[in-house]
Amino acid sequence: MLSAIGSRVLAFTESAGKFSLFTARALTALVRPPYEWRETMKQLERIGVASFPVVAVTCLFTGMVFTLQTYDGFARFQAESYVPGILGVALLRELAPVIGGLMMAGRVGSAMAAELGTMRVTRQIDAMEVMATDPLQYLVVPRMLATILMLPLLIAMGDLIGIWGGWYLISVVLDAPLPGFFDRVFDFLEPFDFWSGMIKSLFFGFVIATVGCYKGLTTRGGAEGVGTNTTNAVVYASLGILVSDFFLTRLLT
Amino acid sequence: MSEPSFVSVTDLHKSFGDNHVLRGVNLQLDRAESLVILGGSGAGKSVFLSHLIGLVQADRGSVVIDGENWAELDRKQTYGLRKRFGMSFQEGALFDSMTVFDNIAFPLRRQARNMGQAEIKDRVAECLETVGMPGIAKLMPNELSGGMRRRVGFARAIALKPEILLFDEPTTGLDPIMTTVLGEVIIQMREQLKATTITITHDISSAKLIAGRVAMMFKGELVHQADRDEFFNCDDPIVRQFVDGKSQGPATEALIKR
Ligand SMILES: Nc1ncnc2c1ncn2[C@@H]1O[C@H](COP(=O)(O)OP(=O)(O)O)[C@@H](O)[C@H]1O
Ligand SMILES: [Mg+2]
Repeated sequence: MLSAIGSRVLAFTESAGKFSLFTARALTALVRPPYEWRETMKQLERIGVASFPVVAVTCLFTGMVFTLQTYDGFARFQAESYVPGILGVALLRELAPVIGGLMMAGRVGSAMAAELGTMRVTRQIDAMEVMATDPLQYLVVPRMLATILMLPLLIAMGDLIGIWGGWYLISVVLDAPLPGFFDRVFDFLEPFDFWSGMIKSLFFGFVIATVGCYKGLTTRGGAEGVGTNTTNAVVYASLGILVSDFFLTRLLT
Repeated sequence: MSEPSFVSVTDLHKSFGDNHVLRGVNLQLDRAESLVILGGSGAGKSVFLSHLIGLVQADRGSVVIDGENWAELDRKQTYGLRKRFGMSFQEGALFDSMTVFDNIAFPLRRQARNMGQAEIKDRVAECLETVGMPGIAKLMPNELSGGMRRRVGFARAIALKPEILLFDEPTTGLDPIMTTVLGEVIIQMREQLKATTITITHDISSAKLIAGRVAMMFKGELVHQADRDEFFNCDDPIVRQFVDGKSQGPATEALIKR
């Protein structure tokens, strides 16, 4: 029993060490020339542009649901006029980065793990190494850059869409228009509310890409290995987002 | 031997967990020599090739290419040395997100940075011609049959006209005519470019065609290395059983155990 726990702790420490080493090597590769512009552009398109609909729908409904819940609660003491401000803060600081980040972990992190994992088990990664091309530089860095750049952009657009969702809910669905809804949102918000969400998104993008690429490149054992590692990539990236969100929130409040 | 060999492997050991795959491989190979490695499935031939090109590091022993020991090279030197190699994989290992053209152009674009677009195009066409498949440059790997993919992998390996060529079962699953064609390409590479070639094959007739020397991988060792004619005429029981394809003999036990 004790030795079983011991070996699990040991295995955990070992994989944590390997992951840290991978992250450090990826960061070194990030600043080392040559820069793979073509690959990076491709990933910007695949990761950023193609993810917009998912993030948009996520933020739209998150904004609407949050508004519905708070409106209902605040109506009990006639404080409906505070709903827009609360919506803005909650969405920008917390809801859009975290829920959007989780969606991106599912969409982008899994795709990275599956793609790189398949390349690993079919020896395409080895073939790349043999042709004197560093997979870290050619495959990992473009994905990392693209996710780190694109996630804040997507979340910023998601912020706006979510706020619009709140307005739509109140004025059209509930048919109880609050005059000056958008003014109330933006009067209440401080610039730092926005920036703290951006910092979170940037960090979550980093988590998604490193976990996804790490799980992909360390895949073993055929189709089954690709399956488990893809699942693990999503689970670990999501956990990473939720846990780091707590610490980031502590830092940023 | 006065000067050190071009490829020098001494007492190479490698285990994966409990599986002791390579158990003391020794090999000395000169420039422009052509070695064929025979051996049963799972004998460790592919693992050995991975060591030769520095993809896997040895547990014990050394692999030295032209005086450079893989274990002592840093990242930059490793990639530098790999530029002198070409390798085709048993699995094909084509990049399935790229067209056939981009696959073959990959080493040219990455390593011959002074090559222009037109030159690359010509060289890719030439390579495809060599492996008997002109005009498939625009197809994606998943549109090709297994044998075609293997030949594209072969074309990609020779694209840069490297000094050392490693072929992992290049002809398995090909028809007899194509097998001979690829065998002749390997001979050409050696004669025209003075390339050192190491080929793994199960095909005895193409082994007889391309080999200068033959070695047999058995239980993680290269047993019975000899010049071609000597090898195929020897009466070592393991070699004889493999060459003649008999089901009974000393090699059977080792094969079935795996
Ligand atoms: N990356 C690896 N991890 C674990 N075991 C491996 C790995 N690569 C090869 N092996 C094992 O090494 C042995 C030899 O494999 P291989 O060299 O591919 O044989 P072959 O002679 O048919 O090419 C097999 O038992 C295989 O399971
Ligand atoms: Mg093999």
